[in-house]
Amino acid sequence: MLENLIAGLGIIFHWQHVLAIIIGSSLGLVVGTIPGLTATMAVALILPMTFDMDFVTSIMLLVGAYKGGIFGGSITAILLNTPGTPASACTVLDGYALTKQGKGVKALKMAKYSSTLADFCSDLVLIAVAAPLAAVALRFGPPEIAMLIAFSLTIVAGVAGKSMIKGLISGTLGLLLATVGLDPIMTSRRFSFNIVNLDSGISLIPLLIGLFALSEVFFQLGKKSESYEDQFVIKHSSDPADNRVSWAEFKASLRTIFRGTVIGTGIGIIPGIGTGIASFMSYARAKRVSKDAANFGRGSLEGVAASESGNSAVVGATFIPLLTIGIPGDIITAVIMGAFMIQGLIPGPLLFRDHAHTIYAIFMGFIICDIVYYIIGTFAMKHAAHLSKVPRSILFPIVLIFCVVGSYAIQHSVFDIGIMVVFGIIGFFMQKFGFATAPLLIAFILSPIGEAALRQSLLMSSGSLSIFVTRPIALAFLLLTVVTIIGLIRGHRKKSAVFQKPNNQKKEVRDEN
Amino acid sequence: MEYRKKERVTALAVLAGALLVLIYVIPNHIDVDQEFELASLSPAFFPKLATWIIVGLAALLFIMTFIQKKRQDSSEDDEEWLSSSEEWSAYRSFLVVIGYLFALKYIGFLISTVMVLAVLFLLQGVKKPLKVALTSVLVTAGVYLFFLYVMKVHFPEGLIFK
Repeated sequence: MLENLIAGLGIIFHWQHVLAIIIGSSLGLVVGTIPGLTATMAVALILPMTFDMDFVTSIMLLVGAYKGGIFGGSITAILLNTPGTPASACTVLDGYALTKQGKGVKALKMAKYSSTLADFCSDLVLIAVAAPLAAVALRFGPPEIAMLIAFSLTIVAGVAGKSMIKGLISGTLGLLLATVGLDPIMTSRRFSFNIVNLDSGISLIPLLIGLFALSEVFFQLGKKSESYEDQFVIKHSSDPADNRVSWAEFKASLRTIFRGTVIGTGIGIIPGIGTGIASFMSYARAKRVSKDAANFGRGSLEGVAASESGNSAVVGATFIPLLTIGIPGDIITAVIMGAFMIQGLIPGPLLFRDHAHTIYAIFMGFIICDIVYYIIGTFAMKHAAHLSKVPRSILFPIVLIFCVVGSYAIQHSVFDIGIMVVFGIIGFFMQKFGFATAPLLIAFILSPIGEAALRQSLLMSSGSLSIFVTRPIALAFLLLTVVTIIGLIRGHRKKSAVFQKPNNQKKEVRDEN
Repeated sequence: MEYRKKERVTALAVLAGALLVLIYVIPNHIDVDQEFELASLSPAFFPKLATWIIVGLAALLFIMTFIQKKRQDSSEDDEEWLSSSEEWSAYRSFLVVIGYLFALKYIGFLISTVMVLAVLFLLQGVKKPLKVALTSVLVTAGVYLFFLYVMKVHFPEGLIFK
């Protein structure tokens, strides 16, 4: 392997390969920053430009756009509560809360550190253990995936907000909304109300922009500015401590970053799960074990680190199934697989035998990508901070236009703008009545995979639930789910006891009086 | 409205919505054209399962309003929400966005976006007409040109101008 790595280094340090990484990362960052324009879109738009390029240059351009796009989405998530990509939807929970406290730059810096570190570690995993891990992922059938999704759904409880029951209602509504469109098994129409556009289901991007970005725009457009400072939505603290991440703060989040890296890498290896889920899983896990769990959702640096490390670690790992067994880990790697095929290379085990030097050159390119997007990210963050000088009366109408454009651009469909508006209004009322919106999104993303896997499993077992306990991997996930639920119930009881204690004490004081 | 009363109304509204889906929407808007030996094969299996869970949770939320003697964490719930006049301002922006949706279809992206931006700036209290006009036109032109030439996105031209 060492010989291949050295040969790979010789190939990658060619000026055109490094330039491709810089251009790809910059384009990805710009596209990812615009709400609704995902890293997938950045990669898809760049693909036609690569047809005449050599293999390594084309792949480096696409990988740069992928990594830059994922990080770009976090900038607007933190500063404007507007996730540029689904991957950064979880980052808004703490990132925007920190911005409201004047610590937006601090949150951005933590996002950059944790993203780069997690991405770097994930790339090392890709280089070191690609083949053996892919072999495990191959053994995932419908029962294993169904139980993995059941386990993932316990994340909902972690982001349920103040009321667990309302969070669960929101999550279940997400499961229901995801069933709109054609049934994945029988292809029957469900809830399409004779509207042709609904046959393919509710599009994720308009739903995401509506729930998170447009609902916030509505809230901000309604809010009146009482003071001069109130006119600026992005508050900027002049205290240097609020604009940097100290070594102590970074060290306190290191464990969370590594945990997020492990979760993200694990999720990335399994085809079809994606960055959004990884960030929510990493966040929920961090919240569960953190000493400062009460601060999650209210501006926790650890929360930003958990989300960002989770989503960034997926990137390198999604290439593991693609390169080793020829199965793309997500939509973006499916597009990149197209680039491989255009260049006459079929991803799979033979690639390591026939083109080992080229593949290891790409691996080294991944590492260079991390360094490049760290530098470009630093530059982009400086300029993004200028947003703090734009008053809310100007900023939010412009954000609204970007929401509209982002929803439209995916399918060139005015119908999608309508979907976004509907979910913007739904999101606004959900917030008004105390329903968290994050559970709805998580369940909406997980539901299609979960429903198909659950029904296929029951078909395999003629309706018997025993299939989930007779297969070791499925059983392991089932046990993990049960243990997590028990832990959640205990945690909820503890929380209730803590909250009730001061009230009882107050009562005793009153009785004494 | 008193907190507990508001929670009860919310729970009942969710319960009513879920029952409507179970009784009317699922039977009429899911194509089930045959009998299935296995319930899990039916296209209605998963939607029914999800809706029953919502029914159960809404009932639980309603019951909890009687069991819980007081708000467990009043400090957590005291997060700022809009005052009623601010809420009406938000509803006004709902209408502007819905109007924009129709305008996009009939008069196209360029004119409708300039108009909507100008209206929103004015509603937000930007008083200088030149600032309103210039910002609206420049932002629209910038977005239009970037998306057209860089992202290859063609915006609606409007039915009137076709």
